[in-house]
Amino acid sequence: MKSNVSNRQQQGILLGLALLFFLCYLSLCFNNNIWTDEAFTIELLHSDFAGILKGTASDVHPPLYYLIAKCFTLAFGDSLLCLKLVSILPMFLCMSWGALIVRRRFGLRAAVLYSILLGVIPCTMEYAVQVRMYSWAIFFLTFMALWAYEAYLEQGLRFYAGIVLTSVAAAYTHYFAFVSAILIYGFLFLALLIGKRRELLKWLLSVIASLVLFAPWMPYMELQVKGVSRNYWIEEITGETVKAFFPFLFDMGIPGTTAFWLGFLALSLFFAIRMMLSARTGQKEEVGAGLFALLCLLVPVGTALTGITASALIRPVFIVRYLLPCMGLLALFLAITLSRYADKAVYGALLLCFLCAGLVDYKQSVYREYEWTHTAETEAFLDAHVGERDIIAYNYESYKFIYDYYWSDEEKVLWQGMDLDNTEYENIWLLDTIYWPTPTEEYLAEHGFQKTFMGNFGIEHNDFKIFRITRL
Amino acid sequence: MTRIKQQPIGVWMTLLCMAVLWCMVWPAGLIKDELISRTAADYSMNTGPVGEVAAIQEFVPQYDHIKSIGVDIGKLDGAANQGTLYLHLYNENLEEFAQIPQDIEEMKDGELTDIPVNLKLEAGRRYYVGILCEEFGDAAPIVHYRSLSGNGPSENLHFYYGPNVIEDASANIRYIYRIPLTLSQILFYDSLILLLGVCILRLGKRAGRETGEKSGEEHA
Repeated sequence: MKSNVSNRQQQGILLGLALLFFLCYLSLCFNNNIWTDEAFTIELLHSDFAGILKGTASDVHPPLYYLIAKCFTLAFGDSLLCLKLVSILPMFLCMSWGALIVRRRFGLRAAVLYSILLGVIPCTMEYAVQVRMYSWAIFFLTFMALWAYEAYLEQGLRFYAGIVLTSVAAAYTHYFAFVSAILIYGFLFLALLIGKRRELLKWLLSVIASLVLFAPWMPYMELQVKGVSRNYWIEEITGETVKAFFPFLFDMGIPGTTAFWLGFLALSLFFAIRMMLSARTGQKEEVGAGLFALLCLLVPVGTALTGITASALIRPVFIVRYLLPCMGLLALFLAITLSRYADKAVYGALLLCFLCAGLVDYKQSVYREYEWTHTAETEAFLDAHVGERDIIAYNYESYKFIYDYYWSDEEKVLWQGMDLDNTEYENIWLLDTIYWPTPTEEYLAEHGFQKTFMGNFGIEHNDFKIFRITRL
Repeated sequence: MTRIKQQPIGVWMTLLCMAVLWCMVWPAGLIKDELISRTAADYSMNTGPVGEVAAIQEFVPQYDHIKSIGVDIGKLDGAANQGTLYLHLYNENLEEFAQIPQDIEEMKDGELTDIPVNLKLEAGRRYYVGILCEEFGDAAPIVHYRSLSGNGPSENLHFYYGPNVIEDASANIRYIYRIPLTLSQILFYDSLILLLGVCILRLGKRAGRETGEKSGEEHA
C-alpha cells in the first residue's frame, strides 16, 4: 500500500512520536524514589571508572551501563533526574533512529506501530525510567537485530560492523542480553547458510571480532558465574513462575490485559507464518519480512528457554525481568506482522487501541512513580522533625544501601548497634521495620527512654513505622 | 440482491453488539478494576483457636464492593488443617447477612489466603467479620493479628477474640475491592471493542466479496 505522506512528513511523524514518548517518560522522572538495584547503581557511580569496573566484577552484571552512566554524571552532574535521563535516552533512540530504519525496510505503518508498541508494552514503561541497564540493553539488541536483517539483505560491511558493536555492547550490558545476541548471531548464521553462503565469511569475522572485544571481560564473567553458581538470591523456577512471566510482561492492572497481549502475539504468529507461506506466490520480500518477524519472537523465547535450562542445570539464575532487553524485538515482531494485514480502518483502530493501552500504562506509571510509595512524605517528615542533636536509626540492615541515598552516615545509625546508655542524642527517630523486633516500653524504660508512635511511613518497597524515642 | 439484503443485517448486528458491549463497559460497569487495601506489617501475634470462640474484626469498608477478604491463619504445625473456616459477616446492628465457607486445607499457613466473598456493602458504614471454624479435627487454627497503631489496614477498628476486645490489635486481613474503571481504562476497553468490531466488519465485507466473485464465476 503506497503512502500519500511525503518522506519528510513520515520522518516528522516518527520523530513526533518519539518525542511524545520521551515527554511521557520525562514526566515520570521528577521524584526521589529508588529501589535496591537503583541504590546499587547510585552507590557504584560514586566510584571512579576503575572502581566501577571492580565493583561490577564483584557483582553479577557486566559494566557497560555503569560506565555510560558515569560519563553522563561527569558531564551533567549526578542528580537522580540526570540518571533517569540516561535510561530514557536509548528508548528515544529506539523510537526515532530505530523507527526510521524500520520505516525504510517495512514502511511507515510498521514503523509507527513499532514505536507505539515499544512505548506501550506494559513492562517497558516501568523500566524505561529506572536507573538500571534495561533500556540500553533494549537499544543494543533491537539495533543488532535490525542491522542483522540489513546485513542479510544488503551485504554491506557497515551493517556487520554495526552487529559487532551492538552485540558486544549488549554482552557488556547484561548477560541475558548476551544470550539474546548469541541467538541473533545464530539465526543470522542459519539464514546465511540457507540463502547466502558467500556471506558466511563476513559473519565469521564478525563473531571473531565480537569475541575479541568481549575477551577482556571473560575472566571476570567466569568469576561472576562461579560466584552465582554458589549462591544467588533467585528462587527455583517452577511452572507457576513461568506462568507468572506473562503478567509481569503484559499485565496492565485491569482484567484481561495479559490475554489481550497474548492474543496479539498469537495473531502475529499466525500472520508471520502466513507471510512465510507467500513463498509459493513468489513474494520474496514478504517471506523475508515474515521470517525476520518470527525470528524476532524466537529471540526472547530462546533467551527464556536458555535461562530456564541454566536454572535447572546450575542453580536458579533467571527471572522474567531479564527478558526486558528483548522487548524491542517483540515490538518489531508485532509491528511487522500486524501492519501487513491491517487495512486502513483496522490499522486506525489498532493504533487507537494501543494508544489507549498506553494511556492506561502511563496512568499506572504515574501512580507508581508519584503516589504508590511514602517516600516523599517520609523525607518531608524527617526534614521537618530531625534536629541537629537527633539521629535517624534504622533496624533493617540490608536496606542501608537505600538509606545511604537519602541520609549520610552522620545522620543515621543502625539501631541494633546503638548503646542507649551512652548515647548523647536528644531524639532517636527509629525507622521500625518488621525485620527486627520493635523495642518494648519496658526495654526503653530500663535505659531511660520512651517511645512515641509518629506514623506509618516507608521508602519505595520498604514500609516502616517511625517512633520518636526520647529520654524519660 | 440477496447479498445486499444480507450485508446490512450483518453490519447492523455487529454495530449493535459493539454498542451493547460499550454500554456494558460503561455505564453498566461490568468490568471492574481491583484495589487492594495495603497494610504495613510488624511482628504477628495470634489469637487462641477459632474453633469454639470466634475472632471478630470490626471494619469500615472504603468502597461498596468487596471481592475478597484475605485471612491469615496459623495451622499449628499442620495440626489444625481440617474442617471449614467460616467468615460470618454482620452489619452494625450485629445482624448476620452472609456466611462464607472456606476449606481449611486449601488455606495457606501463616500467609494471607484471599477468600472470595463478592459482597455489596455500604462504604463508610461499620461491619464485623467473624472468623470461626467447624468440623475441625483435634485442633482449630489460630488467627494472626498485629498492632493496630500504624499498621492498618485503614478499614480495621476493634479486634475481638470472643467477647473480649484485644487492645491495639488488628487482624492481619486484606480487603480486595472491585472498583469502577477510570476514564482511561474505559477508553481502552471501548477501543478494543471498536477494533474487534472493525475487524469483524472488514472480514464480513471480504467474505461477502469473495462469495460474490465465486457466484459470478459460476454464472459465467
